[in-house]
Amino acid sequence: MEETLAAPAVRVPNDVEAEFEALYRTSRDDLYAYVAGLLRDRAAAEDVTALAFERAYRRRHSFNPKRGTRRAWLFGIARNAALDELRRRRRQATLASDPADDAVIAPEQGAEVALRRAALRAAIAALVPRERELVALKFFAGLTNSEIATVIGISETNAGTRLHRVVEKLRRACDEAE
Amino acid sequence: MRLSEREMPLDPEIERELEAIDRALAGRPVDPDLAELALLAAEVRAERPEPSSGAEAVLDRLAEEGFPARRSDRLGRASRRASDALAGLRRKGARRLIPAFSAAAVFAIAAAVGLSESGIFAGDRGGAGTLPTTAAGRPAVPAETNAPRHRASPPAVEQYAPPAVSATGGAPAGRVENGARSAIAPLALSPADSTGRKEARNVDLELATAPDDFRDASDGVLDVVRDHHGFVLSSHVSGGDPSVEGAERGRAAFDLRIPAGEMSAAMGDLSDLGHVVSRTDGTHDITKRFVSDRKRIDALTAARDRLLRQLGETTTIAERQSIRARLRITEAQLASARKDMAKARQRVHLVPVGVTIVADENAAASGGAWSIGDAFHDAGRVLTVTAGAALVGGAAILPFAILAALGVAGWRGWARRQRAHALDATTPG
Repeated sequence: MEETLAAPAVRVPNDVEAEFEALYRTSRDDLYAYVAGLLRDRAAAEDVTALAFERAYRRRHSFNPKRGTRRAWLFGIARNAALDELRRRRRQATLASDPADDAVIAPEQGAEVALRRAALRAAIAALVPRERELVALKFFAGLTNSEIATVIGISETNAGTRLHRVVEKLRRACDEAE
Repeated sequence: MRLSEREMPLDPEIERELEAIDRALAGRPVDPDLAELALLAAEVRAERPEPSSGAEAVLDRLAEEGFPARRSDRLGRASRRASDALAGLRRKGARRLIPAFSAAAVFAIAAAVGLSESGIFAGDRGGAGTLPTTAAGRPAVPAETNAPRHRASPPAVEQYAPPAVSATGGAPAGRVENGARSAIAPLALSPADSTGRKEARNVDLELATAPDDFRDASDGVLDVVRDHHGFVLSSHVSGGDPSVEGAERGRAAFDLRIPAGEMSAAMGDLSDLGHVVSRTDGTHDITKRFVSDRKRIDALTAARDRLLRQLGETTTIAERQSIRARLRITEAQLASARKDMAKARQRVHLVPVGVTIVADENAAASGGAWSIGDAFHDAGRVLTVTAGAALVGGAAILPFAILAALGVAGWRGWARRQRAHALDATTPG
């Protein structure tokens, strides 16, 4: 008796789809962290992150590897979306790292650590927006200097110089707190 | 990129510290002297905002749905549809072919314009490559095709009794040589007296035919003349008989008179008989001659009437004889003046046309098969017109393309500045 086996009607993703899925999996939290660091508004960061992924998905076929990595491309789209959101709202949001984070510090770490973390947080908040964006891209999103340069449209050397300047500021702020 | 952002080597120490930050963020060990920097990097990293579980769930759901565009985002949805529709082409590498497709489309349009303007398909006789051209070199409306009816055997020499008409030479108005082929359109000259001006035209046409077609072409001249109500003032046909050795190179000369109103059609038909080697059109303004003749006739008529009145009033025989003698002279002058007037009218209404036909081995059969030479000729013409059309099209499109490019660049620059301003406008917390 012959038996015909029907193939399951599952949509097989092509290379582009698979690559985008991988990009989403590896970049979701990083992208959110960057956008939240830029906007300093968690609710808006969620919306903008979703919007950035939606735009990136729409343009997924137009990605050109010669212009940088996929992550840099995605963060460039997210940056535009976040800045458009800032333009639209023109209002100041609160820093994403809200006071609840204070509870994260373990009691055994002591007052010194708490003091240092508070000083660091204040120093980050006191940075000018472009510097804060660098912090978000480097420390929150984990981009390489090359990717940062692509995202904000400067040379890699310049990105490194600016980043080092920001780190120096944060270092001084922490040293003063001690 | 701005001048200040030019690529310059980083200070080695800065480079070392940046590398230490990267290592610290990746969880790898750093040099002991940079331990504090690594700690700072870890502490900053610890400030990283994390999405709530709700936000993660929303994003994951959107990812599963393929990040659909929001309902309010009509532009985004339309863009999404267009992008998806083109995705298949992109996957096949069609993007790289866009310039080629664009160039092909531009060339196709230009070629269509070129073919349309070259008149290749507007010609007659089964698509033989024809180039309608006026004597001034302008494209002209194709002439009416009136294929001549050829005789079986023409006389070698024919002589027609010439009417009392003398040709008046005129300044050549234009000339077409070597290249204009059979369906050259006639000059669109205005009728002689439509504007009150009297113009005497003359046309000389030199045709070349293949030896085998020489006889038919010669006969065709007579048919054309008959069809257009003209007459042959004189003709001379010699040679052109393929059966006689050494007589291949035939030559025929015709002195024709064609009614001015039939000139357009007649010249079109004559041009169909062979390759037009040359054509010379002349126009001579004889309005003054008409006016002069008219005044002369009027004056002589008045003089005759006066003499007739005097004749009726005179009483002596001597006076009568004297008046009659003067009357005879006046009437002779009047007849002469009227004859001149008639000649002038005939000169205007009957145009002298000189047709020369030469049998030439190199000449393709008139109106016959489309030869490779015709193909090259037409191809050259098409390419010329195509290049012209492309040039004109490019010139017309270029300003708009530049404006569009400037507009896009300006819009992008404006958006970039606005975004930068939005970022700078946020104040430190």
